[in-house]
Formats: sequence, C-alpha cells, structure tokens
Amino acid sequence: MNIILISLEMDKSVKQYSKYGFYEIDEKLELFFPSVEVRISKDDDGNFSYLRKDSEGNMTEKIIPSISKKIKIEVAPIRPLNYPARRTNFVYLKFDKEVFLSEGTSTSFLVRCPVEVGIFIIHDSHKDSMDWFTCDPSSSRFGLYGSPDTGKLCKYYKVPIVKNEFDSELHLSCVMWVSFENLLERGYSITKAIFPITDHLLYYKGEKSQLDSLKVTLRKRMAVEYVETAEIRLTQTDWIQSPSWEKDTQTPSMEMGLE
Amino acid sequence: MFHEIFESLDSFEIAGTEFSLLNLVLGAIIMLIGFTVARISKSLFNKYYAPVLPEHTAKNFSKLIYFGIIIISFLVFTTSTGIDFSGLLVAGGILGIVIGFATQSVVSNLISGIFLLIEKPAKQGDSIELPDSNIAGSFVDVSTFSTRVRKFDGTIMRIPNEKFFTSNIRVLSDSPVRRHEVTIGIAYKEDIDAAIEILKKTIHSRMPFVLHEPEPSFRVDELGDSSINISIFVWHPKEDWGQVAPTLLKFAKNALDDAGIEIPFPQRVVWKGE
Repeated sequence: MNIILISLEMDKSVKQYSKYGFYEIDEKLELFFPSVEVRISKDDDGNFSYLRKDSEGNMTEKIIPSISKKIKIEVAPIRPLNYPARRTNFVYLKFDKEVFLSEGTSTSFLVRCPVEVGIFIIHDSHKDSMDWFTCDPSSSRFGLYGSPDTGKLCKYYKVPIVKNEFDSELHLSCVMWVSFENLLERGYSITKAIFPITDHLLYYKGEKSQLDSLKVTLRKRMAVEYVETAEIRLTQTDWIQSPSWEKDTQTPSMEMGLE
Repeated sequence: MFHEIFESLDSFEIAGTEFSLLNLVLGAIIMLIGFTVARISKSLFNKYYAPVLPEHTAKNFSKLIYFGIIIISFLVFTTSTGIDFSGLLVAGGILGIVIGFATQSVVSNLISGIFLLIEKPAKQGDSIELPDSNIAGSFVDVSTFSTRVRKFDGTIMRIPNEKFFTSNIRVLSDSPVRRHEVTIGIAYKEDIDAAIEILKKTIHSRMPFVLHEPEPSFRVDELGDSSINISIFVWHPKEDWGQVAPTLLKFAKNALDDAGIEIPFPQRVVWKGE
C-alpha cells in the first residue's frame, strides 16, 4: 500500500487536511478536506471504488474500472466556477477594503481568490477529471456586474486583501497578485475586480496555491475612460500547474442517451 | 436503345412548353439525386457541425443547405431539359391570384414565418411567454406555416405563424438574470427589522442560486387586514428559475417559523352588542 494520508487530530479543533499533489493507490486511500472526505479503495473484482462524503451526509459514489494494479490521482485546486452550477467564466472579487489610487500612481497587492478541488485520474500523460467539489459551498454565490439587461453574470466572492503569497487556505482559496496602474487625471477608488478567470492558470505547491496575476490599467483615450486588463503568467518554476477543468455545459451529440 | 424508345414517345405541350417523356424522366432523376444529396448533406451537417453551433443557427443553416440544394437541382433540371417556364408563369399569374384569395391565411402564415425568421423575436431554446394566449414554454422553431413552443409540461404547442407574429411575446431568458418576487405576511406584534434580517440570512445561506449582487431586497408592501406584508425580491441566473421560485416561499416560511415569528391567517373579531 502506498501513500495514505490519514487525518491527524492535532487537537480537538484542528485537522490536518490532505495536501495537493499526486497519490498512487494500490489498495486504499483516504483524503480529508474541509467538510469533505474521500475514500478510494480496490474492490474484489479489481476495479476501484470512489466515495465522497460531505458534512451534510451527501455521498457521491463512482466505480473506476482499471486494468492495472494501481491507479494514480492528482488532487489539485481548480477555478471556482462549478458550484452550484456552471453559468459563467467570470469572477467578481469584492475587496474587503477600498484601495485608493491617486492620479498617475500604481500599486500591487495580494487578494485571496476561492478555489474548488479537482480530483484527476492520471493515465499515461493524460489527466481526466474524475470529480470536483467545493469545500465552502456557503460562500460560492453569483453576482451581477452591470445592469440586468446587459450586465455580466459572475461568480461572486467577498475576498480579503492579504499580506504574503503563503496566505492561501488549503482547499479553500488561493492568492492572486493584482496590480493597478492609474493613468487617469484623477484619483480612483477600487473596490472590486471582475475578470474572466478562465484566462488564468492555477498553480500549487504543497498546501499553497496561486493564480496568475491580474494587471489592470486605467486609461483615458480622447474623452473616454476605460480599463485595460491582462493576465500575467506565473514564472516561478517550483509551483505545479493545476490541470484546468470546468464543467462543460455542452452535452455530446449522440443517437442514444448517455450522461 | 432506351434513349431511342423514349425519343419515339410522343411529346406533349403545357402552356406553350413542349415536354417529352425523356425530359420528365431526366428531370425526375435529377430531382431524385438532388433530394438524396440534400438529405445526406443535411444529415452530415447535423451530425458533425451542428453540435458546435448555437441551436437556432444550426437549424437555420440545416434548412438553408437542404432547400438550397433542392433549388439548385431544380434549376439544373430546367436548364438541362430546356424547359422554359415563362409561359407557365404568365398562365399561372391569374390562377395565382385566385389561389391567393382562397388560401389567404396560408399565405399570411407563410409571409409571417419569413418575417419571424428575419426579426428573430426569440432564439431556439429561449423561454418565452405569450401572455394573450396564456402560453409559456421553450421556443422550438419557426417552420413554413407555424411556430412550435414546447410548454413547460413537455407538450408541444403549434401556433400559426400569423398569430405568433402579431402576439405580444415576452422573452424570459434574454437577460443574464431574472428577478423573482414573493410576499409573506407577519403579525402586527412582530419586529419587522428582525424578520427581514432572518429572511436575509436564510436566503444567503440556503439558496445558492440567489445573487448576492444585487442583493435580495425587502419592502414592507402593505399593512394588510391580518398581517404586515413584506415583499421579497431576489435575482437569479436566467436558467435557474426552477431552483429559486418554487423554494423561496418555503424557505421564508420555515425561517420565520423557526424564529418564532408568527405568520397570521385572516381573522375577524366580532363584537356582540348588549
């Protein structure tokens, strides 16, 4: 039997959760997440069975047919777009503090951005999404940016501005650098960031996770003030890039039903 | 040999145009090939390309391919057999007027269908409502004479194009979000602010499809006969009406019950004079 990470009760209230990374299973594996537990075990017929249980007692069971004696999985953070349903590619991060940028200044700061957890089966060089879940369903909500007729539906999160890159919370959130440059002729208060998170990649290292940075430039062209955004890829090589996955809203075309 | 047999058969004339049996057989073969090619092309398109296109675009393209090939085959048939339809058109003009009067509603539906395809009041799959006809459902398609709407109970309603074109159409899924509203009453003795706070907390914690921005809003609507009526307005993604509307009132009632806030029912106090 290979790696088995068992929850260690450090004290009555603090549980040690399974880290992001790769796990090889030949007999049994138990993974612990905030309010979620996952068990993968080998059946008598050689297949593996997968069981996920959340704190409300909801269970998800799957059978993983396998011709090899072991299976390898990856536990990784994924973009927070799937719970309660996949409806948008955008996130709306409402900062807990207002950031004021004077005329012609720039600033960078770190914010927490929620994540969901993805479980991927690895075979050859492929990573197939087997399951996903959120460890904090109560904070995963929708919000609208703009007016009801032309606005953009987003996943909405109230997020804190944090101090360093290791302020992410295991299985709950990652951190993201946001840099603002104000090229307008007046000061500007920034309270939120709305951007397509599907353009950003997630990375993890042990317990920590990080999202590609967001660069925002406030410009004025003629009489029109506008916002220019760009994502900046993480260049540190010791972070592992998470497999990207979002629930597909399209169902494959086929003669018979299969889902 | 077959060619000679067909040539030897008498030709006949319709509206100044001479037809021979050979022409007709050739025409039938060309049209048959045209129909077959049209069907195969349509099937291939539906199988390989339609799934990656929006549903309504795919359906319109499919029709365009099918009827386009049939029209091309008809033109090939007329040019290859040397049939001149100008005589037929002149003769058919008067007949056309007579038929036009007789089939006024049919033509009206046909023309309305063309206008509907141009105007596109809704896309395929959109949730729509025709308030005048009390029809609500999902828009299926516009065909030659009628428009089909799949009602929410799963049945298909066929509406003549003319009627659909002249109806008020309420498109329920054109905006990214929709608002839902319910009213709940609390007793006069209860604290309104406390009740609203409980409702707000319950909606935030129990209803994941309700938008946090704009936030749910509450309005004291009426000091009613038996209760203070509070209206609750919540926004939700357009697709998730079914996740919000049927449960909002249930969660609101349960939350008030759990907090011991009375939801009164109509009562009348009768004083009997001495």
